Amino acid sequence: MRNIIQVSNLSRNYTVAEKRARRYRPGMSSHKTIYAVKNISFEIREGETVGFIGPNGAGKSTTIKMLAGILHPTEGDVEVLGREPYKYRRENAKQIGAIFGQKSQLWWDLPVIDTYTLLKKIYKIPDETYDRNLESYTECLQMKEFLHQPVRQLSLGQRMRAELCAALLHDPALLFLDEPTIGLDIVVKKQIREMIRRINQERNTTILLITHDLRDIEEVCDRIILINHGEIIVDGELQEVRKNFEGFHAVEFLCKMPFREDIELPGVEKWKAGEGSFTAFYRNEEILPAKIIETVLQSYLVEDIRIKEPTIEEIVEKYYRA
Amino acid sequence: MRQRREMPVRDFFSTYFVYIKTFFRSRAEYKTSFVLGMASNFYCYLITYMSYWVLVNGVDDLGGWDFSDLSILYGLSLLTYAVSGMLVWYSVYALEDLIISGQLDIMLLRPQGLLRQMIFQRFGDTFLGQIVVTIIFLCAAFAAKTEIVSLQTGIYFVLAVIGGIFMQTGSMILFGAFSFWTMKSGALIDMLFYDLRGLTNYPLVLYPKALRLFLTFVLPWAFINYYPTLFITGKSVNGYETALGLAAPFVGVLWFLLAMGVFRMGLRRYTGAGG
Repeated sequence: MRNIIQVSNLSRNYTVAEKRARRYRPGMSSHKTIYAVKNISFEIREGETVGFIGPNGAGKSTTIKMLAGILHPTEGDVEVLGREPYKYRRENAKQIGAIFGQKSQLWWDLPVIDTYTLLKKIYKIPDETYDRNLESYTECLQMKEFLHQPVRQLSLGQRMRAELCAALLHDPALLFLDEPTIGLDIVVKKQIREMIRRINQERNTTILLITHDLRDIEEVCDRIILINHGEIIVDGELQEVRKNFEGFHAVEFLCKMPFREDIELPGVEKWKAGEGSFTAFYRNEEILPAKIIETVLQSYLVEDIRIKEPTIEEIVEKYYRA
Repeated sequence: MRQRREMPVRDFFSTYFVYIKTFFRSRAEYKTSFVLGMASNFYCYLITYMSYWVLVNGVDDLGGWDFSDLSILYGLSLLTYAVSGMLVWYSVYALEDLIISGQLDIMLLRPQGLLRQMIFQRFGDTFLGQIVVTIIFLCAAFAAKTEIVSLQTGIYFVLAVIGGIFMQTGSMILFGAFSFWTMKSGALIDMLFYDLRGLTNYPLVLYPKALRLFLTFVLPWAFINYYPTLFITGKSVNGYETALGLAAPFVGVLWFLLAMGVFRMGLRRYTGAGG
């Protein structure tokens, strides 16, 4: 599979004037360079679904803007769809769909359907493609009842569905989604996630998803890139990242018998007894949960067992604080 | 696959037409506001023409300019301004907001040039009122001065209007592009464009020579209407003024190209490509 995005040693900095001097001194104005993105490298293959996460101000949006050709890199190389995005912004735009959750690409005063007519013209979408996509996506996103309403009258959930449909009409090969589920209720969130997943499966569309809702990541993405202070901290398959995470792996035993602190196993960090249950915290790379369960079952009458994987929240929180 | 040959100009107008059609459909939701906007513009500029009439009748000598001459002078300025306004005024004035709100990024994500999108974005319907009132007074002026009507004048008039549209559009783009450097460009535009250009609503012959030179060679607003009017009404007193009259359409196009260059520089600054 070909690389749809290739980024190597990419940096982007801003020069900001420091307003420290109390009075004006000519020639003494000091400038400070701030790195929004610092020497990052990654590749994304065709058809991948990548979650891009990181705290506010980590450099996620700056990176996406460079991939879209809106911002020029300060240093390093970036190639999207086989071209440098800042030189071929318009050519690439034909194959890119995007949602910026906080901004709208719909025309405020126009009925949703009119925006789509304009997009058809802008992207030069052939009639049959347009008709097919419009029918299929409005059906899937349950948009039919508000398709002829002006955008300003839509609820946020309706608007975001309309935004997603707008981003998909021209069959983009690459989808940039910057917080597509922000502020939405559970039902709409689910609809949007399912749609993204479906597009990826049916059309092999490459997806780059920025979000702070980690459920989005779990349900949509196979891979995560975690970025903080402009640098990539983690880049890997979601499963791998979860497995390799050192920390809160645990097995909880529901058991009427009190825990007697009588089990010692290498790899188990500590035992914690609670009301009607006790829990073993262990190191994933040193012991298998099956071994712990086996040992416990030999001396306790256990009603139920729960294996606790670290949640993605716990993983992310640890990296954010680091 | 067979690729249809791109026809840039035809493509531009066919897309623009779709936008205008859509715009009027959305505008139909606010019929009252639309009609009032047109009417107030019509009324406002009607008053200006009236003031010329009062001026002509109240002042003994306006350097040989009568009401029809003034109508042509003002008409050329207003007509070209209104057409340019229909094209870019709303979007150019909103550029600052587009930058701050991040909407500019959304536009940059589309496979169209930014300027083209700014033209498409918002059709300046309110300028229609000015166009109507101007056409009425221009027709009246030419009807009153049949001696200057000829094929040659007609062709020149069309060229001068096109040049004027280029110059006014260029000016709006040029001053709008300042938003890329300084966020508050409104006051500067008012001073350099509106106030100084307002001077050309009266015959420049009434002004001191320094000011005339300034409006010709520094901020060349006189090419929008003054030199074309001299040419049309046969008021050019020497070869110099005739030459400037003939040059007017070209000056407009050059000014437009200059403005485009500055706009591109500004955009490059925005995207951080040097500068």
